[in-house]
Amino acid sequence: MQANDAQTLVLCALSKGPLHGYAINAAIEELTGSRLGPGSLYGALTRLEAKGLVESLDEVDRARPVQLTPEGRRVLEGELRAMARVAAAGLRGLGVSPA
Amino acid sequence: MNPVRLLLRLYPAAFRERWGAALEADASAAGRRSWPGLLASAADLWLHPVIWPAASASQRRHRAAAAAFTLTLATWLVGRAGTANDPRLTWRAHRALNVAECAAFMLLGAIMIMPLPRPTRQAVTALLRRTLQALAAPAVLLFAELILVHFLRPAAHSAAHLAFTALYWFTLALGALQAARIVGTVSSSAVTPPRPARLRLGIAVLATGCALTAWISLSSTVTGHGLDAVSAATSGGMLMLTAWFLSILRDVNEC
Repeated sequence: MQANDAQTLVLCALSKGPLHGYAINAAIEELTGSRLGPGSLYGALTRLEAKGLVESLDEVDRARPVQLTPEGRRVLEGELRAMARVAAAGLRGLGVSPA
Repeated sequence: MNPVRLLLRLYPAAFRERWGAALEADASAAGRRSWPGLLASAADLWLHPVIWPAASASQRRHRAAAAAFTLTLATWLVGRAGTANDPRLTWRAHRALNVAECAAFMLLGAIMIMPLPRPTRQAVTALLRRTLQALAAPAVLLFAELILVHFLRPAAHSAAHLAFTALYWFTLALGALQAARIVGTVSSSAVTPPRPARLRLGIAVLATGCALTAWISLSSTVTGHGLDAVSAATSGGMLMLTAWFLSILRDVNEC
């Protein structure tokens, strides 16, 4: 996965707790400044659910929120740690201190 | 009809049932700039049936088996077109392998991925009935064509010959389509999907057989008379099918 990968962004958006599709996209917009297209968002959710990284909760007000599974948390943490290591090494190379 | 609803109809039913309402609401709010993305996402989902929302892991394996079997039949049709264009592909003159041997190898893979009938009388009867219903039309067409060819004996370049050739390919394609539908739509109460290890090995065998066929076909693309367009198209088709087999294998490993 990459930092701008739709699946990583969805996992990041769900890190604070369960959200439904529209709220996931709003969280991604807050994080990156732009929203995912609806096709990309629900395609990513389908893949993540198939991999067992997110799971659906019961329907609330005609929307079904999704949440991270324990495996999803573990995968996201691993990805973010790997990205942080790469970012830190790149910034050190540029002589810039991480913000 | 609303364009978003039209685009949603392009998605697999399992996806529509799970995400259809939410996707429709979000796509309607996003407007027409979301349409190309919706189209691309629908095409992507059809290429990856294993990831569609499923009730169980066994349903995903059944979908993988059905998709791999459909690709096997497509490979067979493309290979049949290739050998009809260049019968040397079935010879062993200058090659370690020929297309017929690759087909036998792929048959082994197809047997490995095939869902097995449950050992009950009801299940076997239901499966037999379904098979007979689905294959009746192509079998009747083939039989009728054999009788007509036997009695009419059309000349090699006549209009009747062209019609018989078209009917032959239509019958093959219809038979392949119906066979794929049997495996894809048969009820889980009648068959059990292959176990994960057998499924992975079977798809790997099919991908290897398809890649080898592509290689053999590629070797006859350039001839003394220049580029052979049909061989080039056959090779390209086989390479695309190989990539598709590999993507199904990756999905099975990930899900």
